[in-house]
Amino acid sequence: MVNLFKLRLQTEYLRFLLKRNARYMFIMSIAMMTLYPVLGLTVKILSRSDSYDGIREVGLFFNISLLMFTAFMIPLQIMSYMNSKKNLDVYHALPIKRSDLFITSLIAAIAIVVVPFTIGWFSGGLMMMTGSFNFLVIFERYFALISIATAILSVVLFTMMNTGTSLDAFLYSLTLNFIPILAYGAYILFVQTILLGFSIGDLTKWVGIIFPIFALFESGFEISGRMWASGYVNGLYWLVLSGVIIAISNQFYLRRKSEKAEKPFTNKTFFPTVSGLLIILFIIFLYCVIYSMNSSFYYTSYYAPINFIFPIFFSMVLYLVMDAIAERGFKHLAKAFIHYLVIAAVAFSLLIGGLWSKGFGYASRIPSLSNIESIDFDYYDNSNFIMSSPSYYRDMMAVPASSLHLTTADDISAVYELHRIIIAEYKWIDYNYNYAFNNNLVTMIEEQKGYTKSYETLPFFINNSINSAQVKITYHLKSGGDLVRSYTVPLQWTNSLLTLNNTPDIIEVNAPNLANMDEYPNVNMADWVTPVGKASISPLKINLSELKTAYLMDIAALSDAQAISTDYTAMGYLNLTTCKFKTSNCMTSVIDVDTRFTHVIAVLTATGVNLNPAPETALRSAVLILPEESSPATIVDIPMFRVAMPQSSQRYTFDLESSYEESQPNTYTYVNLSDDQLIQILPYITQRGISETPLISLVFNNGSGNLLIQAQYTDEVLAIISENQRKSVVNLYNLFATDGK
Amino acid sequence: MIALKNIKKSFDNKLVLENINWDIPKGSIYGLVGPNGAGKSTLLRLMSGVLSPDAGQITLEGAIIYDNPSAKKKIMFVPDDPFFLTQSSLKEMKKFYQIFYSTFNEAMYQKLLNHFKLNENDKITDFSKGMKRQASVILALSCDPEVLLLDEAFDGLDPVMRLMFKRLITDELMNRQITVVISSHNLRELEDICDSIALLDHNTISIQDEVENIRSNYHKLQIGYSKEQAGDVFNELKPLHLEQRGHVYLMVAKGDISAIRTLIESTQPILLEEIPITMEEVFVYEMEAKGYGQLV
Repeated sequence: MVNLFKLRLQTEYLRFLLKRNARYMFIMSIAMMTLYPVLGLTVKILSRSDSYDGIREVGLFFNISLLMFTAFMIPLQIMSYMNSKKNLDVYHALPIKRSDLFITSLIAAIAIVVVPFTIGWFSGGLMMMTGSFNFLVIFERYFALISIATAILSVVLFTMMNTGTSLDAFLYSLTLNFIPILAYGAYILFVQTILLGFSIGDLTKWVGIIFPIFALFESGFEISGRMWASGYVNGLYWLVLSGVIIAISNQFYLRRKSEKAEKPFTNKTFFPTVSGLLIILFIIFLYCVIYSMNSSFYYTSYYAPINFIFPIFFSMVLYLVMDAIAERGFKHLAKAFIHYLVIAAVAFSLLIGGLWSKGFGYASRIPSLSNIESIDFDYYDNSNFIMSSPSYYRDMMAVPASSLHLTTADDISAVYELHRIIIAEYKWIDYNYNYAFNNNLVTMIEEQKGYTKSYETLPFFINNSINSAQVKITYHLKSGGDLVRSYTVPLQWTNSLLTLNNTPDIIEVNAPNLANMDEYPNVNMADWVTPVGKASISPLKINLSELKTAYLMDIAALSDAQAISTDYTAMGYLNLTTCKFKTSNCMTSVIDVDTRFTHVIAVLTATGVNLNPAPETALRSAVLILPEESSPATIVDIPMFRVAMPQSSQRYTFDLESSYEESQPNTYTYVNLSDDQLIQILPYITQRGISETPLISLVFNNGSGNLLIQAQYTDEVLAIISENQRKSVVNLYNLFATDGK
Repeated sequence: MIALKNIKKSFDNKLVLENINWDIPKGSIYGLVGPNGAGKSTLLRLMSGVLSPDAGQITLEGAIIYDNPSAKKKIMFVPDDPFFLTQSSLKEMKKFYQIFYSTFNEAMYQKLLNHFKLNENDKITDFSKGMKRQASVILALSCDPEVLLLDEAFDGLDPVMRLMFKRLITDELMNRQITVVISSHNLRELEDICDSIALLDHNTISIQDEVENIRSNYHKLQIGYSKEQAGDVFNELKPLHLEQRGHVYLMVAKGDISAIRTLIESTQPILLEEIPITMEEVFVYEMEAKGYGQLV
């Protein structure tokens, strides 16, 4: 590094090089301007449109592609003298220090790459500027792009210092550019395949800082999340990285022997290192691909020979081809084969070591309960059996709800218990099963010899094969540091999570508008919806702060049992849209309200809204499905008769039936309800909770939710429908097919 | 002027030069000779700073040459296969060298251009091999170097141009006390121009001396006898070359001529005559004595 600061630019030579390449730069500038802006402006004029969407992106893509191409090719051309003994006889005899020659050639190469791009970028950018694509954005992206192009160029330069021909320099520049992403891919695939609970994190963030070609296009289009939001910080990162690579390259240049020019490699450790690394990565990568394919169909041992055959063949052919190119022939084939065997032995030692130790105990590691400060818990359960719908809509896009930040001992214990169950249950199959692809995990574990169940089952029946939950547990430890695990687990294991329904942070999933009121403070729309009617509330009358306080008070007042009880009467739900600005950047979600939410009811009542709006003139047809007189008798255990879900849950009674599978078709007994009967039973409906006993289910035609009749009102409801004809149905989808209304 | 001390150079595992000790005085014209693959070009590349020695030091007036611009500024290396920038003209090459050699002599450049009758605006790629050689010499001499290293300098030049080239070098020597090292296979050419010769052989310099000293040390003798002599009659002289035609012998020997004569006369020859020896013969017989060029 010290030598880097001793470098002196030979300005006369720099000027000479730029002048010699002036024509090239001119032509490249014209090429860069062809699509961006010339074609863009042409299309705009012809279409008489104010928008550049699409055509500007084509131009950007073209120019960024050219930038990438020139970043690869220009250093090869400017420093091509290094690959010819004849040229070196002159260049290295010149009275200039090698490091000065190096830096001057480097600066010239960067300038030759950057100047045409700068002309194209700014002429296009400034002429096709729009509100969101303003000068600041254009300049920020430009800085990032130039920095990343410099990084690509510096990798080419580094490769040139280790190779003796332009062909090898080009091939290995490409290889070195791709090795980090291959390494990352192999790592991700390996740990995902092998390590139960591995959390992948944000893939594009990491790819964006290790793979310059991806980073180049990412920075040009800002298509995904980045490690750092600012283009300047991203650019600075790549510049620093370039600086380090250039400093190392300079050292290699000073040691590069002129007599080795025209040989494939000037550094004898380069080929073994790069090819060895590449082969090891390919073996691991391909093993994981084959294992994943294999295990997506069957329960497969890591060590099954079928997993190894293709990686061995492919990597062997790849290595022998690389060696043949390096040696310019096949005379070295026998030696190459021996080298391959050594490399493959290293790769398989690493692979099998990782498999055997399960990532050195990673899969079964769990922190001690006393060392946990707090837990960030992400839960997604498509069935919503355990918790409410964990998503909301923002600008029409479904967004996962935020993590629950759990700090109390009870909440931490609930999640910890789940983690303990996962470790204890997976132990029976040696943590070696891909539940993401195969869904008979519970059955398979139960069939293991000597198996004993490590968890308490849910109070309702669910099929072993179709109900799963995705969880991500982030432990914040008292000893410092975090421990992150992600799992897809059978829903049967999640009983302990039911106690999270009354944790204060449940507001994040149950009422995301209230949880995010600081970010989305402007109420844009509010509707109160019941099973039979709807009433609008003036947004001005909604005080989010009061509502949030009320909601938290209601939640805090609930015991664990009350939080999942079906003994409360459904009131309806508040459909709420709140925005960052007055009417834009909005999010929409619902807040379910029943008689447990006394403070919320008070706040809503204060707005003047009628919480029992008049029934609509044409009510949806409804039926009651009775948990008795059905066959087989066990169907009363299915979630349809046990789990109440509000109309806002996006779940349907029909779906809850499908979680139960029997060889014989189920036959259900039901009655049709008149409008009057429906209105009569409204006070007996429950909309959120889990019942130990089977309850009567209320089903609306095309209505969502799984509303149940509270146990204590069963007799009242049966009395109301005593005269109704009992009917039978096998397929619940046919409930309303023939009844008209 | 230029001093090489204990120089060693290998390419991978192949030893090319070893134990090279060579002092080249200012104002001398040294001929560097040696068989193919002896390392002549490598030695010149080491002296010009293109290559770095594995061991030893190469200095110009006490300063190490490798990666030392102030020393390299005084040295001009003309390789056997001259390099020119792609699609460049002589004029462009002149600009290239002017960047690095502040001593570039425009008047000399113009003078040499006229001498060799080359158009500086023509593309060098269109030049013949000889013209390219001329172009490289023009550029080299125009840089006004104190040391001129020429690898296979006369290759591709026609006789007139060779002569002109030799004159140029001797003129430079007389005018500016330039030091020249020329490697060549053509010893006749070197003999005309060089005042000293170094013979590179078996990875090292086996002979280095002034041309006259070398000549005076090597003797070519024709010896005749009245009857056939025993096979070991000249063994004591360790001749470099011995040829028998009937009763007449042709011998090349190294050493003091009077001692050689005394020894031969003791064998009572009827004819003893010294024939003039050329440098080429010295080179050939020296190499022959070391087994070079002999058919197995």
